[in-house]
Amino acid sequence: MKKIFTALLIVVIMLSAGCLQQAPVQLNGTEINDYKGEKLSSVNDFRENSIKGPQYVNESVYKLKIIGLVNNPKTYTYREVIDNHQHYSKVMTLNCVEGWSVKILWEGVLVRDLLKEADPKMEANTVIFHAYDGYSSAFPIGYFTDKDILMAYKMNNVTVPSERGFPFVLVAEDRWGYKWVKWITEIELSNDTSYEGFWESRGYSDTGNLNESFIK
Amino acid sequence: MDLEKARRAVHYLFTVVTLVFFVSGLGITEFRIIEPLSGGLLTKSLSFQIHNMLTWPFIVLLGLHICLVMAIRKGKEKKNRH
Repeated sequence: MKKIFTALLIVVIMLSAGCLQQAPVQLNGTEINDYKGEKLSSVNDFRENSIKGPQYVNESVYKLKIIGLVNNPKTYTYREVIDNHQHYSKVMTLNCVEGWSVKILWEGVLVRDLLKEADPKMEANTVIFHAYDGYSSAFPIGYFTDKDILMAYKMNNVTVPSERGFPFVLVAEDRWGYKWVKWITEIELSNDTSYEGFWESRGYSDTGNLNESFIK
Repeated sequence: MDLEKARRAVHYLFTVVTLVFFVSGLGITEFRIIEPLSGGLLTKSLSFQIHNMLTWPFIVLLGLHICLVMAIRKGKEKKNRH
């Protein structure tokens, strides 16, 4: 009897450690749960696993900077990013290295459009995203020129909540979840192809390609 | 080595593997707690490597543990019948 109880206790502890329910996120509106017949995950289906916990960015003082190897450095307010750029939507799945995934309808602006306005210099070959919590991740510039990569401000038709990366989250399609930078504050153009972001400098793959192992 | 000794050896090994498997699992999902607690030794990427490496040993040891316990129990029942 004692053995069964101990075994049960261990199973309960193991399950609870991996599957603890997190508090539901306060949403600015009602999220949709399907799009053109495609079933979507919920904003609450994410696991909070950022490096310093959720960041609460004040929209009124927020600035998005595009700096580094550009001919025309830019600084945008939250509204300028949204109001002065074309909007795009797409359903994309975020696959976390921890084993969970979420399919979400993302709405945002194209990173390519922002880069075009900043006019990258010829030698710029790397785009580094910096976040409010000190997180960063880098991509080759071709990733944004060849693909329609979004910087999203809405998910499932509601404003991206603070817990998920308000004001902007990078929708890094075909990349592992750690490349989906949240709370973006700065986009830096660089020629440092060996730059390693937060997790990349801790043993994760630089490319973060979904079809490859995320461990270097 | 008799069955009882084998069972004990497997039991101890299984306990150690289970504990490491559990802690490395926590090192993945609760890295903000486990990393500082381990003095920075058990990082999230190391936890992943250990956890993945231990999956099969965990399953094999669990199977061995169950088989040995059942074999010993059957042996004892046989002895009692005679």
